Amino acid sequence: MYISQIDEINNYRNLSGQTISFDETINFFIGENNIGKTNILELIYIFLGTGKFQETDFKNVLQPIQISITIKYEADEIGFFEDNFNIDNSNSITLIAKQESVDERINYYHDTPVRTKISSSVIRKMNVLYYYAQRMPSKEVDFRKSSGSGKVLNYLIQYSLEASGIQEKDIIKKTKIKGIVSNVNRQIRNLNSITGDRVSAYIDADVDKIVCRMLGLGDENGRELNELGEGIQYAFNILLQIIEIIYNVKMTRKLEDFEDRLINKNGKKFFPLFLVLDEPEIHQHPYRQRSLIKKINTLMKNENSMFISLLRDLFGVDGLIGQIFIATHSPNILLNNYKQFIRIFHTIGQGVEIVSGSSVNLDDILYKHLLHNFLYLKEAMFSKCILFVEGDTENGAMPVFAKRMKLDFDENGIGVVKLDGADSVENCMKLYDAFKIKSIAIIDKDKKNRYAHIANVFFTKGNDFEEDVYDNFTLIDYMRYNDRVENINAFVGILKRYGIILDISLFKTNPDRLAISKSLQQQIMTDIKASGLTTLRKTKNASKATLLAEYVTTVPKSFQKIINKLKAEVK
Amino acid sequence: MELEKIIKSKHSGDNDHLEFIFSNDRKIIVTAPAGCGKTTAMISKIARELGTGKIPANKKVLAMTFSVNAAMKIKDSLKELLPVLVENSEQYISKVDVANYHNFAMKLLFKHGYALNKEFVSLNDFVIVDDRSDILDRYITSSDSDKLIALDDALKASDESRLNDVVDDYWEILNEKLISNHVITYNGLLVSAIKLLLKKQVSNFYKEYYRMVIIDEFQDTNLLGYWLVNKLIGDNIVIFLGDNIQKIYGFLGAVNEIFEKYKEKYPIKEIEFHNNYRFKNNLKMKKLDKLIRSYGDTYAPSELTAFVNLKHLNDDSEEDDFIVEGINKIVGDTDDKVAVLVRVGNQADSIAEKLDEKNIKYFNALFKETDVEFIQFYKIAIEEFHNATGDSGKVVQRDLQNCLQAVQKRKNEIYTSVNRKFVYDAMYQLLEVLFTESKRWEGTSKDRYENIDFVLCSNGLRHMMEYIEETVVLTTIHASKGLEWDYVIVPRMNAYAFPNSFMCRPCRDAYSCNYGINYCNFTFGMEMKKAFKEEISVFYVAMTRAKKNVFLTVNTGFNQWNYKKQMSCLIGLQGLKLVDYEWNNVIE
Repeated sequence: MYISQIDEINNYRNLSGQTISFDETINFFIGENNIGKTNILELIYIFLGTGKFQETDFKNVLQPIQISITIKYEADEIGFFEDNFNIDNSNSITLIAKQESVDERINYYHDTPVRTKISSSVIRKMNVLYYYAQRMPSKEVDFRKSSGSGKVLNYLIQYSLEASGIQEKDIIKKTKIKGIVSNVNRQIRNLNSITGDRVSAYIDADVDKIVCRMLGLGDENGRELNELGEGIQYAFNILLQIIEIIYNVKMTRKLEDFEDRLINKNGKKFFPLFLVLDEPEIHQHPYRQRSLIKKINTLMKNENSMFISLLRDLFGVDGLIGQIFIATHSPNILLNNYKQFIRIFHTIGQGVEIVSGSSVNLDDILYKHLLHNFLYLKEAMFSKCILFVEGDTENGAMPVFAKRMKLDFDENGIGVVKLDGADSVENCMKLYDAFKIKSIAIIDKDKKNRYAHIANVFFTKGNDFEEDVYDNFTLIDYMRYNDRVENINAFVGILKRYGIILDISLFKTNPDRLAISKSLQQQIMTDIKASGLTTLRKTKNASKATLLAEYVTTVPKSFQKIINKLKAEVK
Repeated sequence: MELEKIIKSKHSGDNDHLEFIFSNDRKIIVTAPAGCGKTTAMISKIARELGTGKIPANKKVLAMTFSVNAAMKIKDSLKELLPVLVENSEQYISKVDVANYHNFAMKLLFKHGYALNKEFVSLNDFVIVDDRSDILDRYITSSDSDKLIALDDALKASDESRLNDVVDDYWEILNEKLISNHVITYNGLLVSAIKLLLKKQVSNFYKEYYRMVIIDEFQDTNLLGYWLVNKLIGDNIVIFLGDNIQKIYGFLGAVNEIFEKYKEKYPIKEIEFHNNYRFKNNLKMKKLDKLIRSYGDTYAPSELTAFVNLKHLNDDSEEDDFIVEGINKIVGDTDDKVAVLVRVGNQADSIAEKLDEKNIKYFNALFKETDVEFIQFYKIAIEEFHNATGDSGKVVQRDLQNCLQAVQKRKNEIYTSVNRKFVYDAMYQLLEVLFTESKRWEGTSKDRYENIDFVLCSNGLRHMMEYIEETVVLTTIHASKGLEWDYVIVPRMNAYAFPNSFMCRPCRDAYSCNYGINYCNFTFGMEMKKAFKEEISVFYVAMTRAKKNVFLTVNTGFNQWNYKKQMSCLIGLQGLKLVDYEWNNVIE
């Protein structure tokens, strides 16, 4: 079962009029801060979980909020909504959630002319976990707590105690403690006489409570969990929360009612769960981020055998079935399937726009091709605008050129992405075009006839980056560059040919002092161009290109054009 | 398994039952004559399949039957028998949908009918009529009416190819002229539901949703009912239950191809129930049952014998007096209940009068489902019930009181002439009984609402006759189907009365009987086969309504044309030994 689409939103925060389609398994919301990612997450949470909109959710408090959502499911799940289903597809149902005013609750209907009422208890069978960074894990993940994750930890203890048959007398020698308790109470009685209360200390009768207080939760060095970084707590807590939800549903019902809320597939029983995560990357190291998201994904796909055996032991459940929604700012959290991305952005004059990757249709062959490139492309999903370059050299040089032209890429959300060979330029640009991210590319001139037909693809003036840069060097600047890369000695011989004596140490201290006329500089540059290009082309790498970009006298026109275009785009 | 043990002990000794209940076949046909514990076995089978997880969460069992009484009986039996078998019976009961065909069709149309015609959203307001009703003349032409009647005829004749020819025209008339005017026919409900189920997505859903489909009384189904059921059959478990395997196959023979297709696709298991529980300790009734059944199975004189009580009187007045005397004795000396079952309503009118004279209380159910008062009563009762409960889908005591009062206020909309008041009185009484009984039902106020709604919407108040206080009931044999009394009296066992003239007239013309001054001997002419089978099955129903004993009466006095009345051929059948009786001897 999964939410396939939010068909209509009316009067909710800033999302009125939007339609969002979703991937069956996992969805990543990408967008700038405050654009509305959390609004969508909360909408899903309210729809499935709380069942009530608050005053701040109403765009216009005098109007009702109405949301229409389509849920799709498989044959095994038919009947979940009793005998309600969409007439054109027995495996789907479009539900309307309507709240007339701030003081009422949501009423759910099936979207048909009959408007059959759907009881909220049916909606509640779709369990939802909403996890966001502001939840204080340290407060929750504690054996001593009887609520939240602490409850689950308690449950784990109870469960083990039952299985082990350990009794109270195995854990504490009550007789020995009795003395301490009466001493303590003597002191307390003194206090009582002051306040007139009758408080006293006692030994807890429940074995599991005793064990709870004995146990601490922490790392292998015995450091308590809430002294460890928030990241560890966060990740561990999500798991405990999942377990807690199942625990709550099971313990508050008769066994057959619990079983009724599970979904049967191939003789196995699954717990339906929608996972809504807001910025799970918070407090996490990039490696942990990547690892966390993969772990969560495999968990929900029931590919983690340890988790499954845990669920089986504790609840008699064979796994989870559901969908994940994540709002994130981190490329490390994104997985490799563009169909799972949902981009939210502003267009001038149009307000908020949303593009769902699941509605994007690119050629399948294309898609497989792109997967290969994805490591580079994921970060670009967060850009406002993308510059595709062919090689490492441009990759290193472009930001420097841009800075020289007073354009900071980072500040303006411009991403530079290195293509995996010029061939992929068309496919890459199509992908971003689909997500409405503007992209331009710069490619070596010698490939012009192959790619000139694609819009927004530009070419170097010379044959390649090196030639373009070389053509924009004055001799002095070129020599300064060579000095920087410790190749200045070669110029002694070169200048000698023109009757110029090069004093290296003098040059190093004050390069401008070297007096060569402009025309002669030009001449020499032309003469040594062939060998110069050969040298430059011998080692093409980003760090060298960065230096070239710093030292070149003027930014080559071809690159200037690009940067000006980028400037115009982000204004 | 706990459940398995309980079931095995409950049905111990009956291998047919056990074979049926524990079979893992997915398509089963069960033939079970009346009294063979069919319903008990059905409930145990449902319990077993639910208990072994064959019906996963979110899926349901559908029990469909032709008559309202049978549907009510299944519902009651579920409530009565399941708690003995399982602990969480309420949960089990909520997983079983019971409906008769029209009821099911209406539910389907109300929910999804908008896909065929937007007006179906207001189905609750529709007027439902017969194909031959005058009301239709307001909306359709005479040739339209012919087309409607053509379908009804094809249906009655079980002529599938003819039905195929006319059904599309039928639908067009419904769709274009009737539905938009909020009018529909009984057949039209089924035709529309079938049309809806032709949509692959819809039938797909229900085949998945109903993991087990039980079709009860399959031999009474007509072709439309069959087509409807057909759309619900897929990979799920399907069980057909019926009275007579010959009848089932014969009927299905008319739709032979489709049935053959089943056999190809799915192996069909055939099981027969042999043990008669109703008359387990009553050898006399058992033999009578067997004898009459044999006439239903074979169209020829029977080799079996049985005894039946018959009092032969001189005229109507004597006969009535005799009957009233018997009733008086039963009422006075025992706690037993007695029903007077007649072939046609008016045959009991004079008995009713005599009972009135003697101040003997009785319940008068001598009305038909096609009577205007019957139809109006249900319409108003349903309206007022929904009004009283509002949108809540739940019902509390006060709502029931309000409903009764509201119905009372509108009684003038139900009957107009004073001699039809009895229909209103009877139905009102049944409604009261329904509401009183509902207090005893287990479950939530939501369950109560749904069950009451079910009874009203499927016109099932007759079923409440079982619960009325009156010791004496007067009703037609047709209406008695599914019900039981301690004693049953069947009067007027005369030719032209029972069998009625629809059979006797053509029978005489066809020389299919030899008749004398006061008797009739049936000679099994080929033309009369169908009519005879119908009358014998009605006779069978009458004979099998009594738990203790059945009493026939007849008089061979003069009819209105001054001819002596003849004794019915039914009591002259070979093997049937007539026994005279006196009330003192037969009422304990």
